[in-house]
Amino acid sequence: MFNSDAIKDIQVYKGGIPAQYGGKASSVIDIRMKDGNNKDYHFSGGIGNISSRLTLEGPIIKDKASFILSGRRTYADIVGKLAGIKELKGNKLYFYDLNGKVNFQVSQKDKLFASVYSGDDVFALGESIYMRWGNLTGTVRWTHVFGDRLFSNTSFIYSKYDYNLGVPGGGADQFDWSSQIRDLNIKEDMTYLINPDNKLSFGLNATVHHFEPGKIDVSESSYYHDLELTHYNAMDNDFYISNEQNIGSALTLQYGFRVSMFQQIGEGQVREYLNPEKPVIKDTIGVKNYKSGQFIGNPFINIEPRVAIKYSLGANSSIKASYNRMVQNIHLITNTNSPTPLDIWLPTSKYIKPLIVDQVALGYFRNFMDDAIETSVETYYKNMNNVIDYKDGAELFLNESLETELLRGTGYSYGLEFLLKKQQGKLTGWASYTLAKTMRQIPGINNGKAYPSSYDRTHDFSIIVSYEINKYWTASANWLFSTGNATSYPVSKYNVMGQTLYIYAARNSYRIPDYHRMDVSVTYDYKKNENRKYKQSINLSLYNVYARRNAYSVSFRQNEDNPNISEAVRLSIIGSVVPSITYNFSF
Amino acid sequence: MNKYILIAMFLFLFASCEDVIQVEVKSQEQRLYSIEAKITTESEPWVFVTKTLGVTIDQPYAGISNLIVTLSDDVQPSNSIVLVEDANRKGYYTVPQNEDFYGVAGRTYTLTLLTPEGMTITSTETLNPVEPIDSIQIKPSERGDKLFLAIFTFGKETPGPGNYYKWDIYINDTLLHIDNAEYLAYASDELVDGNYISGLEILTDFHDPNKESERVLRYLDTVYVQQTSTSEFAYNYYLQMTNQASVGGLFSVPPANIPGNFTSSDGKEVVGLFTAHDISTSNTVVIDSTIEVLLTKIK
Repeated sequence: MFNSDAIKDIQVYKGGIPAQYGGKASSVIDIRMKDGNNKDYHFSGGIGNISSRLTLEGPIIKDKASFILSGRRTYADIVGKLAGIKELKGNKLYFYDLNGKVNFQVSQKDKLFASVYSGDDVFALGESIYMRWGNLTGTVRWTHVFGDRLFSNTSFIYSKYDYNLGVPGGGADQFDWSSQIRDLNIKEDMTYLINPDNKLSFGLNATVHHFEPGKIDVSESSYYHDLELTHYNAMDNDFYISNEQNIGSALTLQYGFRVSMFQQIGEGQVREYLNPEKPVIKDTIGVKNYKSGQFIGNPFINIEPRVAIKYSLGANSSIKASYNRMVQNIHLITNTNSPTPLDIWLPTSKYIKPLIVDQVALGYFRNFMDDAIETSVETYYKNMNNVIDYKDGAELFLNESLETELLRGTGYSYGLEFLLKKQQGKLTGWASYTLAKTMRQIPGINNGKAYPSSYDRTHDFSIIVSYEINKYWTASANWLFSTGNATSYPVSKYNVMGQTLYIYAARNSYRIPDYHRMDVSVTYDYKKNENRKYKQSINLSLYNVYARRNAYSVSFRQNEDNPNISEAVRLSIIGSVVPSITYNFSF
Repeated sequence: MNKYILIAMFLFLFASCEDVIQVEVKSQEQRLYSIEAKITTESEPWVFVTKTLGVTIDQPYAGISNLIVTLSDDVQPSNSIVLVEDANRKGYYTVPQNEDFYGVAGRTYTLTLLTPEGMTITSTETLNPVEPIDSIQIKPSERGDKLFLAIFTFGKETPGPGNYYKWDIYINDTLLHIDNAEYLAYASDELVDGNYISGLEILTDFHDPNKESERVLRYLDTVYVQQTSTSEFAYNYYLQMTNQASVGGLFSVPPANIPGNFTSSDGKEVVGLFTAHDISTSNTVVIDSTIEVLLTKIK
């Protein structure tokens, strides 16, 4: 969910991830915002029934400084009503975000940027409950060129993610539960052009993480207590060095490594257990308090080698191979698959080890028809260590001894990806297909046997095409297909207090129905004002054209009329066609 | 924390996005013993013994006869009773006629079952004292814009953490049969320890506002509540029952089996729950016109 009006380019690294990037175990998406036009003012935007957006850009000092300001708001409450959720009437469900950036060419050799991003999701049901979650990021970046071969890029980044959930008003059950993560990050990236065949990149990255996993605030009339879970703090210091080397005209090598040092620090409390390798509530010895800045345990130091080779087979084709180790020190602790803000993020700490992923990838890339068509085939294998999952029936909600609910194991994943892309001509678009498998093996879950991860998708296919019918009309369509999520279905049942309870088959041994969906749209462009500054178009689109009730989940429940029967119930969030209309303009 | 009211709210909200579909499952006849047993300070103990059924089987659970069922407490000398099978209800074991056996707060009870195959099944539960309930009130819930009635309890919570509550709701003298987990009302004192509980919403009568017939709390019903104590084990069991019932929902956790508190001599799994409760009964409320008029009506 990014505002495309404000984005300059997006780089997706799946294999061969440069040493410059760290902290994440999977692919890296690097999004760069537009700088803003430094010659003229431009206004662009779209007004629609589902969402509206507006972007303004222009010079502050002509040719020297410019700005861009962009905002969006969606009205999902309206989408919900169209989907037939009449209870959404009078309630709130929306998303908005704002992007702003200024850049200033200080001198021939110095450039300064400052940018801010702020986004919020809001969901409220009258006086019943509310949820909101938001992101805030502020960045100041300075680029400097030393001589003509050394480039420096210095960034200061502040970011905050927070959410609230609660019951509003001044009643007896009022509460506000909040949680937040704040990061302060200083980054120095240098590039040195040793010679035309060698480009050296190196840098440092220092981050201070602050986590507040849960806090309850109540008013005087509420019967709840205030409560605050212990904070987590950590220092994350990384450095990297990497060289990109051309050998002859056909071979390019990229090799280097990244060192990550992650240290949990105070202020905070740490529970101590008889056996720290297997923390159990019964074996709690006590709670140790740490002062602000005090080291908690030893640092986790990891070396992450990165190697990538590209070999050109003539002008149109190439082979790429890579090996990466990636270390992730921020862990998502959630046992729901739902898009609610109830996710808990925690850093690597005394009881949570860094997630270590080794990945190898091999790909063949080939262009046809003077690069009009790009194709590729890639395969990968990933091995994961210190994968976290939860004990059966784990309670993660406001749990002060969360570590006692966690289990640690391994995982692996492999896949084959095909891509076909056409970017020129009247017909453009792309198609991709991935065949993959992602498994977990964690002692204490599924009798220690490997089971499919909830992220496992055997088949994943998507096709997006756009066709320019004539000067005025463009039609586009996309179709997505993916294997249904892995889930557990019951095999037998019994009864307690009139409620049917289930005994489940092996974890994730079943699949919910496959997901597929088609969307179509047409755009009418008012080309008659082609030479004018003011440009406008109208877009009509239909989401989920054939109104498929794609399952979000399938669960078993006893039949209301006959309690002896258990039936499978499908939950689908948007099971109907959603039409939308947007008027786009720019001047 | 009233996570469970939130779950009920969402179950209700997204009901319109649900439908029943056919899926292929490999039903298994595991035939494990499934036991439900209860002792309270105000009613005589009972034990119901059945076996698990394959998930696709459309049959009631048949009671299992010919078990020797013994219940004893932990005082010295121990009080003990052999429960006998009800002549009219197969697999249902109760106190024999002409005998009395009531639970006493503070005592620990051991239930022993000897099966016809010679397996011994045991379970132990402590009957904790309960804090008396002051009163209940019935009024419209703030959840759902006063469209639905709700039951609120009032009373002091016992100081000191580790108290667990379950509320049994009686409508026209009939226990609200909780075939749906949204009617399962229980709580821990974790976040309210020692406070005065001024209106804890233990039941919200969510229903389709256009269908009066779906109401649980109806005009002119008489309602009272039994506030009961439960063990930490039972509290966690109820919690897992709620989790199972909300599988698939927006707050759901991966489906998990619920371990019971029975152990068997041959190590074979036995499912089900044995609970012990102290009871405090509330005032009785009639849902009369003064309550009914407070409800927002759908036009």
